[in-house]
Amino acid sequence: MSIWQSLKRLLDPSRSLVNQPFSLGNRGEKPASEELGTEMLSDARLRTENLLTRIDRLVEAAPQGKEALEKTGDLSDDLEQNLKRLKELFRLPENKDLVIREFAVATQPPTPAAVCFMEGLTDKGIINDNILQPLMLLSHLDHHVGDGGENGPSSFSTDMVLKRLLPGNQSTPLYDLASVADSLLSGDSVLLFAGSRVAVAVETKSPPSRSVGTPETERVIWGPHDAFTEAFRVNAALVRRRLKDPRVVTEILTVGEVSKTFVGVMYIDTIATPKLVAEVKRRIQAIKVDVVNSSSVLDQYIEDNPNSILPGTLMTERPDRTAAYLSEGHVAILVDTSPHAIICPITFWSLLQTSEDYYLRYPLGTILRWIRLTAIILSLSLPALYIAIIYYHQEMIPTELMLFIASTREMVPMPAVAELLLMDIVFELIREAGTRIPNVIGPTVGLVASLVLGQAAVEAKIVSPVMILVVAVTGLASFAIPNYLVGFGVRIMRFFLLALATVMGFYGVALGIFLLLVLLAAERSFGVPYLTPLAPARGKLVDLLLRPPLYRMEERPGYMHTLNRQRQKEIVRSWDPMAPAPKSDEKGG
Amino acid sequence: MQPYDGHIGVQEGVILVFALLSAMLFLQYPQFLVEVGGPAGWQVALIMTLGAMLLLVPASALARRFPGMGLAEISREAAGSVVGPLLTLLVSLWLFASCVLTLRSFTETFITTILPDTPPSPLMISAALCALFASYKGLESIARATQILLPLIAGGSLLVLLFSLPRLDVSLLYPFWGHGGVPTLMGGLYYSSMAADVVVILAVGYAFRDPGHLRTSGMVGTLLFGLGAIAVVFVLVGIFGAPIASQNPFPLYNLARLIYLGRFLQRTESVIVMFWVLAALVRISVLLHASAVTLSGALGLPQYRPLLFPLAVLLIPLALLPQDFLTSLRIDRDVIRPLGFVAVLAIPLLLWLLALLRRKGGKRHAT
Amino acid sequence: MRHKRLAALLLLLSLLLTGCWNKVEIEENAYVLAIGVDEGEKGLHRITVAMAKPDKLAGKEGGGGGGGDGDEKSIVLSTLDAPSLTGAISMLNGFTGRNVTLQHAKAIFISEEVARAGNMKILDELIRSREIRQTIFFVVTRENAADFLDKMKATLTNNPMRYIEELTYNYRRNAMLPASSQVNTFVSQLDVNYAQPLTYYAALAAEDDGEPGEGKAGGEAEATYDAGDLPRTGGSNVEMVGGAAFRGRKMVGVLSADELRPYLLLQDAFRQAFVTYKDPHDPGSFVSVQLSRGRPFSVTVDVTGPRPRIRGRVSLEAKLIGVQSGVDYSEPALQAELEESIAKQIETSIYELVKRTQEWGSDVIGLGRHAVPLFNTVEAWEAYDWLKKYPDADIDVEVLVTLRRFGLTLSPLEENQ
Repeated sequence: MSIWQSLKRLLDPSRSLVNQPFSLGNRGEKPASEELGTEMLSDARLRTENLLTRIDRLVEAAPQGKEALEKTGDLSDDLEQNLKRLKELFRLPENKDLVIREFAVATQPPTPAAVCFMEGLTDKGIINDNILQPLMLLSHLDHHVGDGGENGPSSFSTDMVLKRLLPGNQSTPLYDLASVADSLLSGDSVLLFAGSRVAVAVETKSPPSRSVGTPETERVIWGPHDAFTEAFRVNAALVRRRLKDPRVVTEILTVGEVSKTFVGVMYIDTIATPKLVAEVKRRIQAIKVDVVNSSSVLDQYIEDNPNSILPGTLMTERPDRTAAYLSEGHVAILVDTSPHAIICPITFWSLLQTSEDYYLRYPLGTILRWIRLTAIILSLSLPALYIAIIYYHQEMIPTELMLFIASTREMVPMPAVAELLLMDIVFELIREAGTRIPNVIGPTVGLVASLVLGQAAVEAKIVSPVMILVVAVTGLASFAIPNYLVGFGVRIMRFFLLALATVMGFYGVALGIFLLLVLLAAERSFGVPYLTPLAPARGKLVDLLLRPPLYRMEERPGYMHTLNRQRQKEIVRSWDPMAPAPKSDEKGG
Repeated sequence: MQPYDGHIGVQEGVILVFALLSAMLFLQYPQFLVEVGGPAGWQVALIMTLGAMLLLVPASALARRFPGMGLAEISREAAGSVVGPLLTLLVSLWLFASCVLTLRSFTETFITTILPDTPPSPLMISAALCALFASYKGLESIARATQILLPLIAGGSLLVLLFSLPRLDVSLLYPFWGHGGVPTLMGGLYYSSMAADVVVILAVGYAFRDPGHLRTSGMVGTLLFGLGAIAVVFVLVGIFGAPIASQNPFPLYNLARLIYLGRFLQRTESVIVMFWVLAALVRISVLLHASAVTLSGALGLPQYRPLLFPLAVLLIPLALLPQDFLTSLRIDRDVIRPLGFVAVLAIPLLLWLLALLRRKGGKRHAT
Repeated sequence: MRHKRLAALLLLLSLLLTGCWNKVEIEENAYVLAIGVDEGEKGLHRITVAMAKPDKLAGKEGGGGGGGDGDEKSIVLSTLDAPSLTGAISMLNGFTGRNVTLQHAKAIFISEEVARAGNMKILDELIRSREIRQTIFFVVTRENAADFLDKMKATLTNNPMRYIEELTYNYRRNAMLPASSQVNTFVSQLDVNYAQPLTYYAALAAEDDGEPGEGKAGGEAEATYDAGDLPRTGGSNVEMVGGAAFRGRKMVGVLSADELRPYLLLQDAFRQAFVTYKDPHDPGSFVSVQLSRGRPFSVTVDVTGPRPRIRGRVSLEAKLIGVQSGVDYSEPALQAELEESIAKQIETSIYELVKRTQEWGSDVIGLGRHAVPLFNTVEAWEAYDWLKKYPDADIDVEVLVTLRRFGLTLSPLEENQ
């Protein structure tokens, strides 16, 4: 029976036509221009209305001087009118995020008013205790409201509210609808009063955010453990806490037509060169897009060379590192909703450093750097060198080792490159699985995979043991690279070198190294050559491969062209009997 | 005239000149020095160095007279718009010929040493591609890459020399005066054309901020190259003896073959060849860049980059032209090197005299 | 446009990829570890090649047996008559099935027969080939090289070439071998005209019949330790001590192990050795010392006369190891006496050595190197023709021995009657 029915449904054309799958595109048909048209039209009407009101007001205010001009806006005297336009703007009643609470200010006579705020972005306690309570209950206490009739009711009212009635810690008058909308969206509450062309925004921001946590990718053993969160203001505070100086500037720009993301540009005035700050701001202001919701996205808009394999800026989640870079004259960009600061400009070498280098005493810090340099070299070239040697330059391997490799390869059916690629793929799988798996079992998976798989692969004579060693060391080395993005780039370059090594042995490896170096040497990050201070050499080669003692790092890096080169006295440890005598003393004596 | 190509400081200049010239020490040139001087080959190298530094005098005088200009602009200025470009063209052709022979010699040596079954064309194509890429990226990038590569290359070669020292037999360096003073002197002066490629820095003179930088980098680079040559010839003769050393077209490679540090470190010559490839690439890139720049200057083109690809394409068949390795060695020794005197000595001297006669440059800039 | 360019680049790269001209999987090679050269039929060389069996040599499971013992051999030997080494290798390729390569050849064994005939046509190939390492050991064998390779037994390791390599360290410890004997040193000494080559010399001990070899044990200048005749039994059957002396390409004689010590002294290449000398106070017993180098060998050469005159001075340091006679040599007078006695014995051995080499007419010691600096130009030096003059040279060497240390006790054992 049921089979027959379903067959009938298939045969019945009217039924099968009705049952169309949902599609946005509506195949073959033009977009519903009418619908869009009306939408656009109402939006445009709103905007033009506002504009016209504003122009009228401007004409009105023109003779009254500059101050009056600044205060003109497009809000009307009528509370109802304002609320209506606001609702229209925020698509009420479909939109449930905007809350409008109408009430009366307890003045004599009571003034109708409304408080508007975005649900979820605001702190309800502040609204109840510091806005509604004083206005509704306490306003009649001994204020002589309404006795200054000659000033006109409108300006008087809001001025009074700001000065005497409203205990909110940040309250600003607003004159036009657009800024009202902006304030609402950033989490402020906006008060509208009957008979007033001025709205008042009260700071009630309480965006949902997590508390300050520990860094995930830039862990250190020795050093502070706080990391940036998604809250931009908290991040700025974390940095500012480390640089208690009025010269530390946080400029806030807004990026994104829809996202209106706050982008903070932090720098230290009198250290960072103004040219750099201007350039950073120029690049950020040039972004005209809908949504920028993360520092990684912003980074792609402002990088020098988007095609580059290695990152052109440094993204860090560590406030201490950010503060250190600021003090060297770099600019840090903080993007709201993103737990990473963008440091620019950078050099290639700074990508290989961690803040721990500076927390340890200098011999230890230097050793750490060397280990890391070895890691990047190994991770870049070990597979390529191995393949080149066993394919083309067997004479280099010590005889015993060579015979061992040959004897283990005897049963392996695949060419060595295939073996290597296979193991590499397995390794990448382990890595990927390890990062996605919940924290608790992640290490277990890695361990099981590496031990069991390796052992089994050797037993099954699919790979030779030396190959496992090569892949494992390479993988380990790539984990020792402190920067995730660099690690990624190095992986790509490794395959490039591997391909060349397979085709032409050491000759190919040398070609690859040359090409990569020229590529890097041609790179720039915000006008700073990528490989400086090594190439081009600028000043002494300190703080690159060696981490000099902190008390010897008297100057900021020369390639930053900072306004103020000196960062500490020439002789800091003046109490140290071993310290050289200051020069001025000799002259004085 | 040229588009912004970065600037070259003293350090970069020195490194560039040194890398450009010392790549030749991997090739057959030390052999020639030994051939002339016998056990006293290092004296030939010494005289060669002094001669090479003298060769630089007219070029640096010219650069001083026309600061901030490349060879093309200088010759146009000094010798007029007809003769000037012709002279530039000569230099450009010589540089290109040197580039071609370098490519050929290096390819041959790679084939003889590490890749015996590989046909020359893929090696040449890949090397030419690399050089094309590097010179497209500009001299500044080449100089910076060299700055990082040079410690590797020089360190590797120095290690070879150091590890060879235990085998060094000082008596092989005697009789002290070799074949006598006159052959040594003449040979040294003749082979000072080994350093003729240094005319490159005059060709890209516009990249130097200061003519003094040009002179210093030329002189110091050549001096370092000379010291390297002396060291190589010294060790070469001290280990192989003059008769074998004078028949040895791959000096450092053969030294590396002798390294024997216990059972685990033997036959490291392939690693040396790797450094050698890097040195060759730097040299070919610089020469290609310089010949493209001078050629575009001679033809009055505003950009050198469009010329790069045709030149690189031309490079390969020309490099394949000599019949065999020995022919290319002979062409280099008997034709190209002597002509180097024209490029680095005669033309700058002529230009300088012309500038003096026609009262161009120098004083006018001073006032 | 961009895609077209990319496509062109890929096309170019794929052209490169068709090649991999020199690529060889490591297990596709057959690795030659040693080469033996004998006289063959009709002026050909009889070339023996020892190829490694990787799984045996890599010593994974139960590699045990080593180079000897029947079926469990770790190397495969093939002997072929061929005009040249390359000819032999290409023949080998015909029946080995793998690509035979000389990259890892560690030693070349030339039979004494070939060496004495001066018939080493193979030499040029050794120098010119890029595959062969220049540091390959150059060994002259008393027996046929083929027999030598076949019968040699390494006892402590299962890789016979590693064993040969370890034997060469004897130079450093006991001064029983030339400082180096590699193809390149051999060739470069052929080319210089102030010295002649001296190579390693090896022989097999006589079949294990329990009889010690014919060599005589004894103090300095009395013992003769010739390779193959060491007075001993058991252990490995390879004896590589002493050296084969050449005049030009022709082998002219054999230096025994104890002659190598004065040889190294005169070359200033001596490092250290344990030597036994006759006790000056008790002719029947011996004094053992450890000799090590003192100040460098100083030489003056006079080439003005018709015969070159060479005056040299060797200084050595000694450490007393054993005194059989019980004489207390820590007393100053006795110490001086012992020093002098040892010096005398060394001087005697030096005279013997020089005499023998002069008889051969071959300056294997390379004393000529001290004469070269006296000439200003190559032409003058060549005109002097040192090698012709060497047999007539008047050579006088003074030896100075200083007893520096006396071991852990100063005086000998007291014997209670």
